[in-house]
Amino acid sequence: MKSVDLGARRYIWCRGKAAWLMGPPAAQWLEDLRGALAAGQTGLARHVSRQLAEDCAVMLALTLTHGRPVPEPNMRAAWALERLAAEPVAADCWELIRGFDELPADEQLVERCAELQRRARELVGHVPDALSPEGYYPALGLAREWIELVSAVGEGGFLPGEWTRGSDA
Amino acid sequence: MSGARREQLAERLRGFHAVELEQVLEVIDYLRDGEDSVLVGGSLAYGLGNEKSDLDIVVAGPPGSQSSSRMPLEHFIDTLRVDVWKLRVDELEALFELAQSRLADPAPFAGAFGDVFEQADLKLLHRVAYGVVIDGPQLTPEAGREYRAVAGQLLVREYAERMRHALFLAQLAQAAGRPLAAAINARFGVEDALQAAIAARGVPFSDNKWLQTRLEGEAGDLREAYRPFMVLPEGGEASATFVAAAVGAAEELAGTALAAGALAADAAWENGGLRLLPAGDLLALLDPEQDVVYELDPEEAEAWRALGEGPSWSCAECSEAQGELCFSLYAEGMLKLTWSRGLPVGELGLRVGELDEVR
Repeated sequence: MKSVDLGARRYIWCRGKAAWLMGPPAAQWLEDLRGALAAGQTGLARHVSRQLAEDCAVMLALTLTHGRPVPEPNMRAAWALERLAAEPVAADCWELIRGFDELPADEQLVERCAELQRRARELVGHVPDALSPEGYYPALGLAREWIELVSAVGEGGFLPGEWTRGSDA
Repeated sequence: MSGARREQLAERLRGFHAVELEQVLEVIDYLRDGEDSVLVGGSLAYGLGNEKSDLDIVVAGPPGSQSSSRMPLEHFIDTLRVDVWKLRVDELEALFELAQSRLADPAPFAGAFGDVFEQADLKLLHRVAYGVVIDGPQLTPEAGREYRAVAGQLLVREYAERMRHALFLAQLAQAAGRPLAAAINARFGVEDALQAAIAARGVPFSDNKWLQTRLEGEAGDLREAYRPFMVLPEGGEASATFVAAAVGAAEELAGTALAAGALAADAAWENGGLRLLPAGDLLALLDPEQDVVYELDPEEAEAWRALGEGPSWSCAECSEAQGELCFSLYAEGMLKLTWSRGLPVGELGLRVGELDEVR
């Protein structure tokens, strides 16, 4: 058993935010990167690798430093990188967020992004990709469990807004 | 023209997914009404996209027919994901009506077409305005309405306001000694300015992820303007130059003044629930609702007190110390940055190309 030396409310909020706010897009970015490279779309690959690194940095900052709240999108990358400054993973995030004069070789870029995503998932847990046929129902099932968990600590939901429009009015 | 675009789309679907348009029509047939139109929008219809791209379809039914929610109905044909929005033409007209009223309103877009749903609406408007009709008749707008003019102006304004926001933040961050946030926002600001400039040429909306692809293709003449900002500067010292260059580049692209001093009059910090609660030596700035507390030093506490009780504070009226404190809290997600007015398209100096004035 691992005891969590942090208030239950904050721990669950941070972990849940990491999983649901950033997890699904991060999964999608890796797919987008593979598609971009297969089609020779280097501009898209540049953008996608940057976004993936930003989302992973936020996930890591949430789970490693338990920052709350998450600032608006314009500030998230800086917020996460500043919080992760003492972590070795910050340099990997920064290189991808910073961008490249010359894009690394395809395989190398995919490998770096996949590794970052793997490290984030190791801490946050796996969220099935709701936009894929095999992930659709598992994602709904997992969302249901998370709603129960966050409700138990008195927090509101934090599923992607478009999942809950109307139901939280 | 429409037939040629349909054929190009068909070829892309065939090439990327080995799927025919007829298969797509068959799969979504259960959503069809007798007199509807089927439009395809999104990256694949706009000459972008790749093997991972999905297909975005709007089924526009006659008044009285059923419509779905704003969440797409997902379908899969082998490797192709097909997202379908089923809406009535009168709902689409109402959406264009709303867009026109927002464009005529000087209030900022944030909260109008700025959040995730309204961004979805923005995409929907562009699917209707620029989509490829793959079955049924072309949609005919109400008299006096030009779908493309409304959708285009909406996009220009959305990006122009994002540009203003990002570049104001970049300059505030630089002044507050936060070079990382400054450089990141400077790059965002240039990208938003480029998006506004491209949108003004009458190009349909695609996600930010396609900006660089467009700069490699149809907007190739703007590529050099972006090149100095593709990579963020290493180290804090270079960020001041980077931010100043970004402001200059965006001013040139958008034809509007973006210096922080000029923007501050329209900007304000908005406080949600932070309160200063001193307890002896502890100067606690607390938001119990958010489960957040900060320790202030005496100078910061004084700056906070001098801001006053109000829920919002004009950026132009903040002292240097107050500005830095407010920016730091904003960077933590504890304050919001709001605008008292939008950035109407008429105030910009963009080359508007085929974009007509919306009346």
